[in-house]
Amino acid sequence: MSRDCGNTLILRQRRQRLTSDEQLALSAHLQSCESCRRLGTFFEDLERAGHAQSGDVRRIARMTSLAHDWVAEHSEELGALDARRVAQMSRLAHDWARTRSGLLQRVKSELGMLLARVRKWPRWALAGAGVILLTGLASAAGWYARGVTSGADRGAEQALPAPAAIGKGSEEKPSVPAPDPTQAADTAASAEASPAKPSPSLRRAHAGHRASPATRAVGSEAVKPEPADETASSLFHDANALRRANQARRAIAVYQRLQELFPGSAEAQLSELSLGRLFLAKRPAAALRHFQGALSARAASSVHVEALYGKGLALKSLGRLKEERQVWEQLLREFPSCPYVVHAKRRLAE
Amino acid sequence: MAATSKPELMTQQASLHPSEHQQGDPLLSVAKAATRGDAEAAATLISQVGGSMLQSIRRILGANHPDLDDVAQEATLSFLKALANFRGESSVAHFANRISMLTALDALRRKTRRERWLVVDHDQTDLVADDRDAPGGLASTTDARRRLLIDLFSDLTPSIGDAMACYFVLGLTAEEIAAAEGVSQNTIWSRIRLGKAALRRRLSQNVDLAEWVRRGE
Repeated sequence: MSRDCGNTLILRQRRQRLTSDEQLALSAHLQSCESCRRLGTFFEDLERAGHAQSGDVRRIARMTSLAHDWVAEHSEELGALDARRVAQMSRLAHDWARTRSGLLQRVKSELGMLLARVRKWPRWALAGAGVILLTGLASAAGWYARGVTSGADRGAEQALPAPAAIGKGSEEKPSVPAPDPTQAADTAASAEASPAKPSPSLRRAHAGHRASPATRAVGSEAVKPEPADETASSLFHDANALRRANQARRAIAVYQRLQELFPGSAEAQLSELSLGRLFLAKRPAAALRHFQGALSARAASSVHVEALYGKGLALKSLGRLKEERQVWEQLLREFPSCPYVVHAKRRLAE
Repeated sequence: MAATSKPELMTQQASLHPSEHQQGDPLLSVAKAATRGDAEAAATLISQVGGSMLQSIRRILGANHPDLDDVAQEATLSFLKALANFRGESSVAHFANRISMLTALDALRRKTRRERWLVVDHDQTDLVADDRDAPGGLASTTDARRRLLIDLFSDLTPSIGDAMACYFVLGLTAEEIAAAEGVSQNTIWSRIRLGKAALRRRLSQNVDLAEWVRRGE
């Protein structure tokens, strides 16, 4: 415990969650980090104290019996608690409905008063108002139709000459849901090949900074039915959950939604790293862009080492060996005690 | 923290490993049945998680502590009471482990407080009974280290002690502890940092562990 170390491999090792590469990285790290070495010793001491003993079967039987008796004794109370919870939920629902109906009543009465006043108008005034209203509606409809058409044309025109923007935008907008996570990159690739799709910024402009319908459909299917409830934090949390559940495609969609709805937020910046990881296996070029994004994001400075490592892997996949070498040298220079040092040294030696 | 006397408070803090266990936890339906008053389900549940609950308690109290049975039973009741407010944000087994650990830690704190008032000779208390029969050398160093750590958990303020216990005893990451306690990760990191600083101070003052500290293991 000579100093604090932010490395979490020792914690993950305790829960048997290390791959062979990570195990290798941990062994190398332990040689240089006294803090983690001592932490490991404390973990071993606690593990040793927690080992099962011969009388445990008897103890568990006693605990089981106690649980049985206690619940049997309190079953009515527990049932009442359950009923109370149901009643509480019903009350909440009732209150909500009452508030809503109150609002409706108010709107109705206001409309009624308005109509009562209008009925007192002379017939010629009513006819004039009707004509004005109809004319207004017709011109509004015409204006809206023209705006939508010209907007779509502009979207197609502007999307064509910007391949980089299309690449980034469309790679982040898979539009057809597919349950198989391995199809994520392929679907994204096919989406990228479609030049008619407007760029994310254009879509934001049309949607008033809300998600496009397609994205919203994917996002809502993935996690939240109510876009109004979404926050950067909730989207980030949901996307992480999907990623951990190996639902890569849906995770990508939610990360993209996060970046679209909350550009510049800390979560959006951090999501660059996650997107990089998700694209790394099949789309190293896209992964590289995201790792670069993570490296330049201020909010993601805590994961720079991971982003750098990912960038090195992406460059290796792309066959850009000279740049890959520079990345490993940078990693060794800036993070000499990180768990990826072993990998970096091995790549430099090859 | 009054872990056993206020199980509902523990429940608020006891959701572990969010997102990992929401799906496919085989004990979730059994736990739900137990909360509705099904005694058979409660018995089944405890028979499934009892082993790991004992393990968590032993890590705090020591392998052969004389209060082990009492604390295990106390933890069983606390767990059943807390289940009523279980939000399903962790696996039921992890929830049980955390309740057990906090119950054991609370028992230890109560005992320490009692001893301070009664001025009991520490060598005569039950707390060290599990270590008496340990042979010297490696085992005694191991026990000394564990005792130092556990004493630290119970001496620190409850928020820091609990965070340290989750980190050391259950092996949770700061992210998981933060999710369980409903605070930010930074808060947990600063608690762990403070706890580790206190641990370093104790290590530097401990005569029994001086050699181990010097070797830098």
